[in-house]
Amino acid sequence: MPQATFPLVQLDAYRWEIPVTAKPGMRVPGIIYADAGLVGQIQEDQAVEQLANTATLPGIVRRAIAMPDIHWGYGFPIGGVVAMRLDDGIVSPGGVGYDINCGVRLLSTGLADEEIRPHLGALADRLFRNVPSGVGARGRLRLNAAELPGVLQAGAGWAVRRGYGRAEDLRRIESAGAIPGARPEEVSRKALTRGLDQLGTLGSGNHFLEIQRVEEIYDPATAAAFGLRHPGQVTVLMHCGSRGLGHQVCDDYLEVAGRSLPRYGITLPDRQLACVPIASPEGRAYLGAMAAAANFAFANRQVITHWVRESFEDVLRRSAESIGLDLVYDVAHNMAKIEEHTVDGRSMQVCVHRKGATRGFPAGHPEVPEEYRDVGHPVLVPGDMGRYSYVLVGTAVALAETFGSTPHGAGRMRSRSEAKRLLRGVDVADALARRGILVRAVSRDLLAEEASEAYKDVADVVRASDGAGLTRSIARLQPLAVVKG
Amino acid sequence: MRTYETFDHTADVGLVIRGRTLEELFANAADALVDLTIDPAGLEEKIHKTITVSAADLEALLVAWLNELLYVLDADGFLPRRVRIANLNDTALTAELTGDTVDPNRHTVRRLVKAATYHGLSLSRTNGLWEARMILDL
Repeated sequence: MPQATFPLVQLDAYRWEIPVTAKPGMRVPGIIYADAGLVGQIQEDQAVEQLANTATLPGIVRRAIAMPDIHWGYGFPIGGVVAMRLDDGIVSPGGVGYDINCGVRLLSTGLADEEIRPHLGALADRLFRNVPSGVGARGRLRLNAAELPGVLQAGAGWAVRRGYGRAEDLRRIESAGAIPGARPEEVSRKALTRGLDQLGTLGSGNHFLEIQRVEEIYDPATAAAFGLRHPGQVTVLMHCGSRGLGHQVCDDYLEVAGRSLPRYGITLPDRQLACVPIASPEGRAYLGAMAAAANFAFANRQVITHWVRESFEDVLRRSAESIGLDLVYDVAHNMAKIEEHTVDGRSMQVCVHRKGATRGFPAGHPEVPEEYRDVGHPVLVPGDMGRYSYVLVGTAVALAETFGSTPHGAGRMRSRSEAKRLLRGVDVADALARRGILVRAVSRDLLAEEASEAYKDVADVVRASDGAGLTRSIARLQPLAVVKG
Repeated sequence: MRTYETFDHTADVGLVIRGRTLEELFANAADALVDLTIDPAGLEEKIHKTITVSAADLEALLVAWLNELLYVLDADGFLPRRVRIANLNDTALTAELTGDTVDPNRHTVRRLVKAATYHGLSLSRTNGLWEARMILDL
C-alpha cells in the first residue's frame, strides 16, 4: 500500500505530534501516544493520515489524539479520540463505528485455576453452546417488536429486570449500563429487525469469551478493590457489541450524514468521515439512535453474563453466587459521549468520539461508580488469545490530556491474509492447546486470523500508555479457554 | 479475469471487484461477500428474493447493495447462491436472488462481515473493464 509520509515531531519518549501544517485543512495538531518501537509500526499503514484527516473536522477541540494501539481503520483510525464543541462541532457516525458500544466486560470468581482445570473442557463446551456465536447464530432469547424499545431505553437494566443478572451488576458498568437520552424512535425498522434475535450473541471476528487466570498483580490495593486478589484466581472476559442492530444504525446515519453535507457546508477528505452538526436535527437523531444501540450492547453483554453464570453452575454444580462471577466492570470502546472536560482552564461540555479507545476516568471523578470512586474505575485492555490481557486504571494525566481516554487492545499488526500466510499448515487450536489454552471456535480454520502473530504485543501498548502516564497497570490476566465466533 | 480478490488492510479486509459490465461487477461483489461469509458450495438454490436498493450515486450504490445483503442475512438468515442484476442505473438497482437459509449445521460458515464502508471507495472503468475497490469492516 502507498505509505503516508507524515513528519512526526517527537515531543518526549511517549508523545509524537503531527504538526497542524502536515495536511491542508487540519484545524488542530494530532498527537500519538507511543514509544519509538510502536511508532515505527504505526507508520507502516495509513493510520497517521487517518488521524490527520480527523483533525480537519469542524469543531474539534485541542487536538486529534491517538492511543498506542492506533492502527488503520476506515475513516477514523482505530485508537482515535476526537472531542468536539457542542455548538459548532460535528458528530460522526463513522467516528463511532459500525459496532456501536463494542466493549469489554470482566467477571471475577472465588475459584483458583487448579480447581477448574479438570472442568475446563466441559466449561468451554458449555459456554460455546450457551452463548451463540458466528455466522447463522440465532439468539436463544427471541424478543418481540414491542419489547425492543424497552431494551434500547434501559440497556443492561432491562436485562436485570427480566432476570438476567443481579441488581448490583448495574453499579459496575460504564454509565450504569444505560446511556441517557436514547431515542428508539430514531432507530430504523431495519435496525430493529436485525436486533430481534441477536440479544445474547457474541458475533465473530475479534469478539470472544474467555476463561482466564490472574497471572500477575502489580498494585495489590487497587486490584483488591476490583475484586482481583491473587495470582491463579479465575476470571471471565468477554468482548462484543451491538451486533447487526448497531451496524444498521451506523449505516443508516452515514447515509443521512452523506446527504446533508452540502446543506451544512462540510467538505471532507474521506467519505467515511461523513458527519452532521451536533446541534442539528440529524445530529440529535444520530446521538439518540447511537445511545439506543449502545444500550442494546450493554443488554447483550448482560444477557451473556447470565448465561456464563448458568454455564459455570451447570458444570461445577454450585450456585453462581458461591462461585462469585461478580461483575468487575464493563467498558465501551466505540462511542461518542457528551462529557464535561476542562479545556484551557475552562470547564466545557464536549462530544468525545472514542473509536477503539476506552474511557478511563481516575479516582474522584463524579462519573466513576461510587464503589470505585477512591481508586478510579477499571480499564480493560484485552490482548490476543495466546498471550494476556490487562486491567489498568486511568489517571489525572489522561483526564487532562486525552479527555480521560486510554487504550482498548493490542491493535492488529498483520492483516488477516498475512497472518494466514504466516501460519499456513499450523493448526492454531492445537498449538494453543499444547500451551494449556483450550479453544472452541465456529470456524476453526480461520483462527489464524486472530492468532497472536496477527497482533501487537499488548504489553508494548500498555508500557507506552503507562509510560506516558495515561494509565497505571493493576493486573495481568492469562487465557485458559477461549470461545470464538 | 479474476472476478474479485482481497487486498491487505490491517484491521479489516479490502476487496477488488471486477466486471465486464456494471451488472457483472455488482453480481461479483455479492459473490465476494458470500464467499467471505460461508463456503458458497453448500448453498442450495431454493429460495427466491427480489431486492431493490437505492443510493446517492453509483459508488454509494455498491456500498448500499452489500449492506442490504448483510441486512437480509441478519433479518432472514438468507444468503444468495446466484445473483442476477435485473436493473441498474446510477442510483438504484433491482436484483433477483436465488439462495438458501444459512444453517451452521449444514454449511461451512466463515466470518461475519459487519459492513461495507465508504473508506477508500472507488469505481472506475479502464480498457472496457470495470473495477471497484472497497474496505469491509470485519
